Amino acid sequence: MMLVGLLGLGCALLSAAGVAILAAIDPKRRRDTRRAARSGLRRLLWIAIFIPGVALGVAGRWSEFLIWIGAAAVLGWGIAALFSVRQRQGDEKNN
Amino acid sequence: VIKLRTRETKTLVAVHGWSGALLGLLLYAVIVTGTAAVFANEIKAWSGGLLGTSEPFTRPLNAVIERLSAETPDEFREDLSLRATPAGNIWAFFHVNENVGGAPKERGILYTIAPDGRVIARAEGYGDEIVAADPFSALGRFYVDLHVRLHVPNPWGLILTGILGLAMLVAAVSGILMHRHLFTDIFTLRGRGRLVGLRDLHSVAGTWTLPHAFVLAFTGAFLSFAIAVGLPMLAKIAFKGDVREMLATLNGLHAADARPAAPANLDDVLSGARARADAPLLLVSVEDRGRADARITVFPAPKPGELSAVRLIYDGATGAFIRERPVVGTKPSLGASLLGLVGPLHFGNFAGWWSRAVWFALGAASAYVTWSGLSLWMRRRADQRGWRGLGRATAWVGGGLPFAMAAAAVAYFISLPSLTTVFWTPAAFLIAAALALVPALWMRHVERVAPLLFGATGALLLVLPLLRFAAGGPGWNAALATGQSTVPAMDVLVVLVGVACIVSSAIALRSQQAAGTDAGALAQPAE
Repeated sequence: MMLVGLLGLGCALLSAAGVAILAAIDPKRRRDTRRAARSGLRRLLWIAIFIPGVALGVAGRWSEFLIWIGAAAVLGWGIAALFSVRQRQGDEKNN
Repeated sequence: VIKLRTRETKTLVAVHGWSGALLGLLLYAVIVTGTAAVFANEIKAWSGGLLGTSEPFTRPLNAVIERLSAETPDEFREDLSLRATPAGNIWAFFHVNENVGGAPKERGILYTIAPDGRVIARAEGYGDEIVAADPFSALGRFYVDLHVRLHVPNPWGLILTGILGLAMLVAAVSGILMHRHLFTDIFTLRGRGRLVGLRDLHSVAGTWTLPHAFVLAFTGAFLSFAIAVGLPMLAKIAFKGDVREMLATLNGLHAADARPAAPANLDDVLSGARARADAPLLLVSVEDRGRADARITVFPAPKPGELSAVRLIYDGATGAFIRERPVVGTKPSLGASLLGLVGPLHFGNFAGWWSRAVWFALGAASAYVTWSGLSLWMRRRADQRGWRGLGRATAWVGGGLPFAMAAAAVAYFISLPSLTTVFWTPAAFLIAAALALVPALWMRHVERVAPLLFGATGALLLVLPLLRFAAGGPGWNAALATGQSTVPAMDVLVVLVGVACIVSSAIALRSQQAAGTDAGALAQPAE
């Protein structure tokens, strides 16, 4: 039973890696005025984030799919919080 | 980007804010207790101190059931339910179905059977009252009851939690529509020091947990209304209040044959069902035991990797397998499939520890969304005297609820040796809630109330494994020897949550000290 769910968690980690890259290059967070510059890359990353979930759905692994979507959401939230803390620490240093 | 006219946006903001302000604290209570209730079975197994086996239905049962049947008065031999308890024993409930004040109830004798066939407990009465008086599962039941109906009597408690589920749906939908840049702002967190930063904390957490919020709100409201309103109404309108008749019709009628017949060998039926289900068996229901038309319905857990399970129907006299049946109806249907998904999606119990852990984390995130929304509402009205009371209530419930839940667990373990847990678990919850009210009412800096209570919650959680052991609970070796990995896993989980509470409390208090926040401000203990 412990093995059921590991695939979903692994897929969530893959998606989280994509989320981390998206967070790193997010123009709004970085206050980057050249927002259109990387919009193609960001669009690709958004699609890539969903690929593990789509694959689980196509394979009919619905319990893994639910674990993927839940874990990816929690990890995504954590990544957003972490990047914001780092950003504020950087801002304080610069000031 | 969802473009709405200014007037429409204002209306949605009002709907979102006022529904949260009016029902937010209750919703927060339901979500926090639901987050704990994700591990309800594990909590019962961990706190009960009774070591059985991880799969109790794999042990021979037929001989002991025959012996107990002979000892049980005739009036209670109509039906038999067998349930695997979280601690790994078997509850065998010989009972008769009665109608008490228009509500169906089961009255009989409940035997608790240990894995070696010993009867370790016997109780007589109505099934729900016997279970409510069980001292070993009082803690898990207390959390579940708080989540399911906030301890408000039936059916009003269920209706209330159903309404809260709908309020959560309203908040989620209005939140999507009113937030113009929901997904482009998904990484934008500008720090809680500013009002806009507090809004970011709420909207970013809400966006990430949006699918979960929809699923939980819908399934929760569905379960509450179906149990409190839907099924009783259906029974009353279509079956003149006869619930048994309704269930027989929904699940497939069988021809009545009241001639006496020897019951089938239960061990043969259960071993066949175990092989057919390819999953542990959870519940066995024997109807009209000792008659030619007796039926045995076996409820297995879902197969590994699947979300829901079918029921297996056996002939109660011959032991022959009759058919599989879905959650409702006699053959597979879209409705039955959808209905079968409601439970797993709400409880997160479809893939053991992993799915429960993910649902636990999502529950904590949803609680944060609710509380940060309330705090945002209060921060915007910090200068209005009339709203300050709700600000203090938010701090009290926000930090006081987890504190009272942890205090209930402490009282449970202290009162377990004297078997008075049924009284002391809720009593300690109320006492701790009253204690938490003291700082919420009198502390000048109300923003420090919740972090302080979180720290106290963490301290209580850290002592729970020691109290469990001191109350006669099994050690890790003894638990693992019987296949109960739940005991060490729960010890570790409780300590981890305790440490998380203390660390988040320390960070919040330190940042408040550094920022020197104003007395009226309401900040969060942790991001």
